Amino acid sequence: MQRFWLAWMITFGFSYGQIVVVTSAHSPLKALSQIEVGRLFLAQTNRLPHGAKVELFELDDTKLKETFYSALTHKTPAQLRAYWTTLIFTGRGKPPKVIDPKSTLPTLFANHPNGLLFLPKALLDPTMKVLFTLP
Amino acid sequence: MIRSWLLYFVLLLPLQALEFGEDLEIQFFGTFDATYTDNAYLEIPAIIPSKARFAQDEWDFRNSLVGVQAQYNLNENLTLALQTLATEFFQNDYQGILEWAYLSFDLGDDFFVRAGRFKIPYLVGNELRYVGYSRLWVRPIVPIDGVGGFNDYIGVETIKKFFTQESVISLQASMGKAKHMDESIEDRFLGVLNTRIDYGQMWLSLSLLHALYDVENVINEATMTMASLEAKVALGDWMVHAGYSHGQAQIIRTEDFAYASIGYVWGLATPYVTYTARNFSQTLLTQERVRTKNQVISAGIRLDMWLQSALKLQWDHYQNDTPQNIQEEANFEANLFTIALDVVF
Repeated sequence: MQRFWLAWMITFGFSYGQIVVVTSAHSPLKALSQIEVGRLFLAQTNRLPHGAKVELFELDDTKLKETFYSALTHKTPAQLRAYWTTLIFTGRGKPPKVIDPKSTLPTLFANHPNGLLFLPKALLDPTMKVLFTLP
Repeated sequence: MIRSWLLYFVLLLPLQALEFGEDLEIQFFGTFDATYTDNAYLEIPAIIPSKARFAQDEWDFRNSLVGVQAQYNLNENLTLALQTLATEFFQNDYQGILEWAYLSFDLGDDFFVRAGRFKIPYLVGNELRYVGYSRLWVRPIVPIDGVGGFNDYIGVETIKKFFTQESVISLQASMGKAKHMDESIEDRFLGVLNTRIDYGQMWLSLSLLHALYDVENVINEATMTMASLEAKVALGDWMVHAGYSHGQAQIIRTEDFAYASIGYVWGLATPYVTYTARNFSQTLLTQERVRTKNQVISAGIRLDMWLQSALKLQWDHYQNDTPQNIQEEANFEANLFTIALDVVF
């Protein structure tokens, strides 16, 4: 069902509806503020509020990334790319790992309990816990 | 020449970000740069600091380069990083340069210690001198000699971040031994303190640098002190960059340097204008310091038509004045035209 939704959204340019930031359903975290989400997804910090080292992921979906980062950071895709270039080549941070939703999503949080991912709410499953909903 | 072009594109074309398992990541960057000047005396902050003069009235490609960075996670908190560079494709004088090579240890709580070889963290343009995609302009906005001629160092640096409700404050302390462009100058010690504040759509960076060095057969334990302040502010679609650097040094060139740039993000195009002013002086051993004033007005456009590359066109008008008038070539006006394609994978 998830694959169907994602393929449909990408193919037909469907509005993502709400975008949520999720972690493992077993995480002790209850919620993240918009400022905390922004800092984590811009690699300004690599630690979750409870001190664990975060692992950032994003789906291989250009439109989804554009919508999320534009709302959160007010940067255009090119500006965001230049920002990551600055961090990568001075060793001060790296962008989220891009994952294939078909093969990786079902087992993502079993393998990465401190993982953080943003995705359309329609793709939520029982392995995930919502920490933040993009306004 | 044809062989050089072919080699350059063979190196550049197959580039894409590579991941080898969970722990090894390789990234690439490259620049194809064609520069034309109407004055052979023009000296500019070129990509490679020692090659700052271009041939007159012909297109020059020496700022073209290809770079690669590999990062290997030895464990969850320890990372090894190497960054190397290949230049001089079109001079039939290929050079491979190891730019960064360090171990980084994450101590937790946003506190990092790194040891190895680095670009000196003084002025944003110096650290990212080779990575054209990271900047708006075709060339880094830095003094001609970079950091007084010291641009790389081997040493240790610590980085600690603090968070307030609205801002992120990053403190960096670096110390080690630097290498100077002039081989008769040997560094004994170099230390840099850097503070950067990120607040919403702006950042502010303040750096202080001190170096102790010997000049062969001239002086021992000479000193250089530099300070800089840089900022970037985004106001809607407008982008403003500004910076100032002041240096004082014995024997080697010192430089007061200021810049201001304004750009407007207009879809995929960002036109910009920039003004740069430099006052530098250098002691010619037995003579007094020779002072030179240099002003540059630049206009250009960055086009982000593809996400992993940027096409840039830039025109610069230089005016160089040396009051003492000791060298004919020191007083001139010059124009520089540049087309650059920056890529990153």
